Amino acid sequence: MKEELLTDGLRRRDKVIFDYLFNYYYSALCVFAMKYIGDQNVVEDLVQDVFVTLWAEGPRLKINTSLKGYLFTSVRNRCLDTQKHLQTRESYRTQLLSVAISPEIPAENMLAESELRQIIQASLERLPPRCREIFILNRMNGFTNQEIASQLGISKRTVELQISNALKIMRRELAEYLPLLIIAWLLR
Amino acid sequence: MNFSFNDIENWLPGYFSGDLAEEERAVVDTWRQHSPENEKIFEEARRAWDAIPLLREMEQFNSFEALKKISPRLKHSSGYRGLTYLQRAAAVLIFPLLVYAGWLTFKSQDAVRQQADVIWQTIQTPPGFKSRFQLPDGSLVWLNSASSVTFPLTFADNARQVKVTGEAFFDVRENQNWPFLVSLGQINVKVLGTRFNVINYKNEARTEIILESGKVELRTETTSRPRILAEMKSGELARFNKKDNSVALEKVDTDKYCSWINGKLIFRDDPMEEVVRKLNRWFNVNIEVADPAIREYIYTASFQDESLDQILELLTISAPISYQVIRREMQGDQFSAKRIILRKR
Repeated sequence: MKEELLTDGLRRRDKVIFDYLFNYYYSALCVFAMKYIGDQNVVEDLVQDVFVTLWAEGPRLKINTSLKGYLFTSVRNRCLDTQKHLQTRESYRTQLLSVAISPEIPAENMLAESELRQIIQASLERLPPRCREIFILNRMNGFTNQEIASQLGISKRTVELQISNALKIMRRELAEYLPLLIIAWLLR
Repeated sequence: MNFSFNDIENWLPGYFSGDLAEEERAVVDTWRQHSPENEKIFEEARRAWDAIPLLREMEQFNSFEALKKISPRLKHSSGYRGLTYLQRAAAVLIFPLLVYAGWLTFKSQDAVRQQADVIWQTIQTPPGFKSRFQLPDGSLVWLNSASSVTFPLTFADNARQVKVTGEAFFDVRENQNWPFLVSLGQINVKVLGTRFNVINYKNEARTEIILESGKVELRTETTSRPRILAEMKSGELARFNKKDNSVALEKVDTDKYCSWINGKLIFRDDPMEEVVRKLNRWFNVNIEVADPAIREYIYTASFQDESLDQILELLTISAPISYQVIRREMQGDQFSAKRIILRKR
């Protein structure tokens, strides 16, 4: 979708454009905010507030970089503000994390849910069928190697080899997008 | 110890999942420190390993539910209603607005002799096309998709008379002594000079007149002694009931009805049914709503130069809807209109 179309839509408070952006970025922004603040409810309220503000800006909306940049930066700033009010050990830990990542990471490196899904699906399709099946059972459905082995009637060693093989291929397939998977790195 | 690159990469899933024994973990760590290249492979593998769980984590957040929650705050937080001016001020983009010439059917053999010596002609637009042209008196007509206007080659001295099916917008050249009459079946519109829109599709029960500026009179069609049904003021919409010849007047935002002449498609709190009706006509497609729940969705949006695909993407991402395009098929000697089915996601 063209950036201009979206910003113009926001400026004239077009609800369809707003809803589109909301659905497009909401989940990624929430996951991003979770790295700063560990509370799902707080995070959802915070991200929703960012969108309400965006709507209220309307014709005054000013975007220096990109809409994506605007949204991720707004969420990060709000997270940092919120942290200041939290005096827990948890926030101390996340504050350290936020110092490490804050201004350097351009928002272009963040992925919306639908973008991530597309990239993953495309790379999964490159895996041999059996290998893909086993990798999905492990990574998506959370089965252990032993569970997969007994379910498919193969040895645990075969499962391990297939998963190693899958990860090698996935790593190469995703390499192009890896800077974009930065949120994944923030999970740690 | 000497390990091949291949061996170590095989160990990484175990390292990430925590299944690897302490000594083996130490080997992996040594390998990482051995070269920046190894460290890069390690980081890449870790992100590839985390990609799917990251997607899973995103999926926990339901944007549709959240959107429902904040929607009331949006209406109150700003001049949601006062958009007209802003929308008007919004940049007007170039759109292959109105397709003129070419297909304009102006066939003299179709001209019908309706009265003694008046020759009538018809200009019509095929589905999906719009047109603009001038009448013999210099008045302008915009003709929407699948519509027609019939008018005499030269207007009579006592009245300028035209007939409309479908939707047309008139910008009538002012002349106090030469009334302009638009015939819409059972009802006609008498004007002296003004801008207004008429909607009179044969397959629809309603006939509507939207007055952008000036004044018009709505009268019964009988030629001998027309009865005045209503007088309209600018900014009003008149809805004519064909069954009991009654007229209901309503104050409306005329932009929403008249913007099509500028190539804009505007929805303001319109239900899906209305959105579908307009899109069908605008793009000459056949959109079907498979799930009744979708009919209740309300849309506010304006489109200028977006393609049907872009509009469908916006409509479906902004609400939990999916769409399916059915290929055109031959029907007799021509293709059917493109079919699109909307479903709840």
